[in-house]
Amino acid sequence: MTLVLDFLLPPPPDTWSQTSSSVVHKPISGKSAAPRIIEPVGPHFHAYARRKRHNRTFSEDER
Amino acid sequence: MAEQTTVIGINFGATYSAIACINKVPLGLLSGERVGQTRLMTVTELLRLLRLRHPNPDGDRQIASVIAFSGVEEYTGNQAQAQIVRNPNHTVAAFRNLIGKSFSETEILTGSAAPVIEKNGLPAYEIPLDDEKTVTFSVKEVTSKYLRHIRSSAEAFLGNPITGAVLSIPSYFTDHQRDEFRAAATDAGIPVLQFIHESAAAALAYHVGQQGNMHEPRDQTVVIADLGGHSFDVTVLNVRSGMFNILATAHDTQLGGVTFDELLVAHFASEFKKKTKIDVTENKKALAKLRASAEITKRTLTNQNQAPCSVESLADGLDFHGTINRLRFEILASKVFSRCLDVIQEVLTKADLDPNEIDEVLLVGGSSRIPKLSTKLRDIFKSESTRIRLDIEPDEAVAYGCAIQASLIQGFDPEDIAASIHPVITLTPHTAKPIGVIDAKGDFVVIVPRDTPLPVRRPFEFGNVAEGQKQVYLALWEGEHEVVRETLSKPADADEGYEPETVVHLKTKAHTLLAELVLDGLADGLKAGRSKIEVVVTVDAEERVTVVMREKKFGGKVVKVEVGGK
Ligand SMILES: Nc1ncnc2c1ncn2[C@@H]1O[C@H](COP(=O)(O)OP(=O)(O)OP(=O)(O)O)[C@@H](O)[C@H]1O
Ligand SMILES: [Mg+2]
Repeated sequence: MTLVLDFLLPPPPDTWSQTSSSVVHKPISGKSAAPRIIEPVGPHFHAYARRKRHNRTFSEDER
Repeated sequence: MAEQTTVIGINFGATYSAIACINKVPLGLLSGERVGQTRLMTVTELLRLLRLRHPNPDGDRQIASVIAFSGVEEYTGNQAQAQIVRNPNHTVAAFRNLIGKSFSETEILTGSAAPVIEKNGLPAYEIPLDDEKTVTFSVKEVTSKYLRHIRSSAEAFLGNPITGAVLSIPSYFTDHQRDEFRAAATDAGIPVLQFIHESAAAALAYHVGQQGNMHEPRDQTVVIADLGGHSFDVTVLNVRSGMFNILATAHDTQLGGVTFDELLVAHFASEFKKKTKIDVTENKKALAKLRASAEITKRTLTNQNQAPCSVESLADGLDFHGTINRLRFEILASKVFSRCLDVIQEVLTKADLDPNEIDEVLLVGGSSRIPKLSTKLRDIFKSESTRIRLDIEPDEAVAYGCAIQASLIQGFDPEDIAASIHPVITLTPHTAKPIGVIDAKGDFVVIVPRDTPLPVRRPFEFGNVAEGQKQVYLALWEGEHEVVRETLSKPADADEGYEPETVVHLKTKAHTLLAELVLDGLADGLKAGRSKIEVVVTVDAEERVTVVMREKKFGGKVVKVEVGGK
């Protein structure tokens, strides 16, 4: 599922330092990832369960 | 004869039950279908088929969750329902919710027939036998007997033994209730594949979270409003990358089709009293008769503006004939509709969602056919982009969803199913806040919405960069909800006492900057639209966010950044 966004990515702002290609600021807010039970239904659940049971990442799973 | 599949979906409701299956359509029985074409069959279609083969004079579509005993004979469904009036002590109704409950927790529902007694601390029924003796059945035994009939009628129809079934349970069932239900189903010879929540089943039936009927996932947030016979259950559920999450539930077990029936019963009882001076409000038998008629009257009012209610020999040998129109019924029931809205408001508050954030409201349960309900829902869901849907038969949607799930897991190893639905697998962290980028206009564009189960991977693409642009910049933000109060402008025809009206809605704004990336070295002098930038955002279960940005058409450059992680 690739989302196609129809706006332009701008050039870097004037404040951007030319030396690096990326800057890390902050992680997502700590306690944000609250655990929940997902419903084990639907056509996509089994791919998720398979990845989790075999401890695979998305790209490992695709191979 | 086309081959038959043998997995089914069962919705065992407190009032009515339904069975559905996915089947190969035999020989053009359904108009316009090709022979042997595989498609989903709804209960209605199944029954229509059944009727074509064995014409069914009363044309009943729902199976009443009632079982009646007469000596060694057992009757279920509508035949049994008719016994509530004639032989109440031989008839068990409204027993579904008692499974797995102790006697002290037992709540007796309106319209239940044989009295509930206590046996070993559990609710049970004492049924008189023909020879003056009685026999006692626990709720679990009654359930198992009832489900055995359901199974055999499905098998009789399909001409094959059932090899697997997915059954639905309400959101408020405890684990113990589910286990007892499983035991009863197994006793009934039903090979249980899985239990799923009624709301999730309804969402499956409506293909929530999928693009049309395709299997491509899409993010959606829906409210499932299930107004059945004895309860109103409301669930907010979202689907993210094909994963179903229940965000909140609320229910009122004193609100359902029976509530409407009782209003009509009271209305007609007072009419009868006016005409005859006879008060039937303490007369059990008369009430049971009136209740059965009132339910028919109520159903008629769903399709017509006026409906009769007739009971032969209601009391003292006197007949009753009355009529009511839809408007009068809606006035009688106005408080009931408000209570429905309260439950919906409650669930939205619990989920911390604004009505505007709801994509669809799915109406399920037989009573959601009452036309006024959809109209009233617009008091809450004012946005036109929120669809209110009733396009699947509401008392069949849950069974239909169970059948879909059954077909998805049919053929799986039972151990695999058990391992996959274990909380070790299903318990998973979710994002609490949306993650996104800022577009050229400065608006926040959500890439990973809140309440998305982790890990998640979201690839997205920008079709173009500006002409001559050699570098692109992407800032990744975490967003936050903000309550926006807007004062509506004063209408031109406002009178003196005009008070400005404000509307409150939620808006997502960029809040915390997570990372910035720049991809450079794009081919000089690119024409707009020639370059294609792909960005993949991944959030893993340890809350580590990874962004990979690359140019796809001319290859080469890639920028990657990793943020956080435990
Ligand atoms: N056309 C209709 N108009 C109005 N009410 C209807 C109509 N059809 C069915 N009903 C009502 O729907 C109710 C049954 O709903 P449903 O089949 O969803 O029951 P259920 O799931 O067993 O309910 P619960 O488990 O909440 O008791 C009954 O009260 C019935 O009178
Ligand atoms: Mg129901």
